[in-house]
Amino acid sequence: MSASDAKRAKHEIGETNAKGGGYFSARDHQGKLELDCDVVVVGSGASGAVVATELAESGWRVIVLEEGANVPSALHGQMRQSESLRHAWRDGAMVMTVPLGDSPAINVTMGKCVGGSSVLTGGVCFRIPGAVLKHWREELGLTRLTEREMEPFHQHVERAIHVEEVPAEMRSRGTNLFWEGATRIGLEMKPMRRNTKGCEGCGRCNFGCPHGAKMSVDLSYLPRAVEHGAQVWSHALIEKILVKNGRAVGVRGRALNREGGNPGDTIEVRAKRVVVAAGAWHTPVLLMDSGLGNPRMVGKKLTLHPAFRVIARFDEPVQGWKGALQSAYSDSLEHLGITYTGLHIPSGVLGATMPGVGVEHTNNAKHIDHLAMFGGLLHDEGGGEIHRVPRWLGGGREPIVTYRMSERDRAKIGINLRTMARAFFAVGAREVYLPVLGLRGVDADGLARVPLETLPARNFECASQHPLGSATMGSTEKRSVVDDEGRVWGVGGLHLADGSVVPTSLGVNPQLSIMTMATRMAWRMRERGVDA
Amino acid sequence: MPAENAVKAPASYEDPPVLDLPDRVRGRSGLAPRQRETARAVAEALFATEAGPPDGARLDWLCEDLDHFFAHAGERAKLTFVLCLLAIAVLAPLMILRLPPFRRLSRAHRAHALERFEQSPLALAVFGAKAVLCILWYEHPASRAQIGDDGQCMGRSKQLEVIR
Ligand SMILES: Cc1cc2nc3c(=O)[nH]c(=O)nc-3n(C[C@H](O)[C@H](O)[C@H](O)COP(=O)(O)OP(=O)(O)OC[C@H]3O[C@@H](n4cnc5c(N)ncnc54)[C@H](O)[C@@H]3O)c2cc1C
Ligand code: SF4
Repeated sequence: MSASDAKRAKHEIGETNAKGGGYFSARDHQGKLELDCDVVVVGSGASGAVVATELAESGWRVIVLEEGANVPSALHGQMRQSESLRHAWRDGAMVMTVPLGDSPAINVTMGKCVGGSSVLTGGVCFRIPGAVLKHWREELGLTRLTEREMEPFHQHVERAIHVEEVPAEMRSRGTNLFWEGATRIGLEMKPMRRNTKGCEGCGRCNFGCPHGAKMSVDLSYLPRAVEHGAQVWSHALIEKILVKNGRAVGVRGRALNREGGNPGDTIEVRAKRVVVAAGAWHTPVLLMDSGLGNPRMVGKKLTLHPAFRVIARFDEPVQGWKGALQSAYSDSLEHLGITYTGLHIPSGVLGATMPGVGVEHTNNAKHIDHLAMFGGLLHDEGGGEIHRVPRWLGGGREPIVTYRMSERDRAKIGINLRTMARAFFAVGAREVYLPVLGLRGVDADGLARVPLETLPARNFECASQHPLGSATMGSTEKRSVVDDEGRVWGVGGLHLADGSVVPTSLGVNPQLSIMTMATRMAWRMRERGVDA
Repeated sequence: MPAENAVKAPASYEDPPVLDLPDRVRGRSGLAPRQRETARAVAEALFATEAGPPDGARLDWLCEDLDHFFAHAGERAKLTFVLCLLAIAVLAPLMILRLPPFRRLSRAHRAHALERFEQSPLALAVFGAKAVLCILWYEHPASRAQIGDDGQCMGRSKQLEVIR
């Protein structure tokens, strides 16, 4: 058990420490729950944990409300992968976008637990790219967001979550094969930086780290917040932001304490400041349900970093799960809007990508330990939109999300996949499995014949772990939802801190960027004071 | 002691996954009996080897685990899976000129129908069903051994404590 895990284990659920902090479960509470604090944070993920910790350490009375369960990391690390999916992921990782135009249906995964999606990451950490900041300054008027301005925040978060370079010996055989092949075809490969401490390279970061080595916010931030008096409530679903005289004064929701884990008793938290950190998928839902934020922008500019994988079969055993989950990347094609990152998916999921049924399927599955894979994500232009379906039309807690891929992004899919396949063929792959539904493995000649550029995009298997930008930051009230400090235009005391504020897609994995922006926001709040 | 409704694998499996349900989640339901039957019929066709179909006890275990998966994973997840099953139940037989429901077809016909479906514009439905079935199926120590997965990154849980 890591030091932070031990620290967290000291705080039994339901126990209050000397400063009044602790982890609590609204599921265990009966009757209306009424609380009062300086700042209430909705969502305990990458951004919520950061804001809660920075403010609690400054002496603010903080309450964090999280819809998901409290899954201690020691327990998570013991789970089977499918147990992690059912207890810590939103909807068992089965959330899909509705495709519009020539777009794939995208499987979007998110965390729903204390620590949010941070708990499920591969640990990959990238700073906000300089070119992206430049675009925000020059095109969006966010003139204060310079690299110099962000530097102390980047450094601060990197220290807190222990960002380190993955050593070469920790790379999996599959990653090394891609590295070699990619280099042969002219891509430059680079080692990844990840937020780990004592990583043993067991390759299951997305499903809980058995060694407490991944420094997700449930280990690196929330225990600090709790030590400074913050209360973290799990199974607390927030449904409305309370506003009085144009100022946010708290939130209302329900404890998930009914039979079947359904919403039951009311929760009401009164606060001087409300911070919404429910993630880019759900923050717009809360704003829409509360009738807040610029209605022409809330839920509108969602970007996803649509990602595609290529799997290659080699004669030799690869055992791709042996090594750090994501240890290398290439930004050689960033000018085309493509970033390549290492990955590994569990055998079961790999099994599902093996075409065929019965004997053909089970024979293909026998090669799973001979498979290597790599992923390519698109620095997308957006096209996602979050829709609220009224209850009387059968709408429930979850939104419907549409995604219309731009023509330019659609055009990138072919080159993205062909480049990864070529890299694998350059080091002797027998065949590659492209992410085209129902397509069997193809060799190098076969690859040339697959019409990737003209296939209907709906035939592609596509995934996203990076919803961003559904309540964007901007310089004017007309074209954004929050200002450059995360304050919602036109509503006092209401702040957004999560991936929803990121103004455009980043082209790289976003957790460090989101946490950096959340830190900046928390420090600005602190400077202005709780009663400002 | 596992609760009454915990999933128990057949005794012959050396490392049986055993899940205990948190008290207040007990009221949740997994799949309806019809849906379970269809899922089982898909799995029986999908995981057949040269030696024939998988044995019944393995399929029982899979279906129970599937039930638990959907009792916990949320209504949306269940809805997605059930829609995939429904598409298979009704449309897959038509693709080989047979009458639905899918679960009544012979195993050979089921395999043939799924193959056709996988090549059709509705392939996503097969992929959705296959994904969940495969994740659970290949977690079992016996299946892992068949595909050369040494289980290094598999959890060791035998029984989950109540998650709060
Ligand atoms: C499988 C996976 C792998 C990833 N890998 C990486 C990686 O390697 N590197 C990287 O940079 N990024 C990675 N990401 C992305 C990264 O985790 C997210 O971008 C980041 O965590 C987003 O932070 P957030 O605060 O916006 O939202 P989240 O971390 O998702 O937190 C939002 C929280 O709010 C809760 N919530 C939502 N609505 C409500 C409500 N109404 N009431 C109460 N609570 C609510 C949710 O349950 C959730 O816990 C990965 C994501 C996933 C899913
Ligand atoms: S690869 Fe490292 S960080 Fe990931 S689960 Fe294994 S030990 Fe933890």
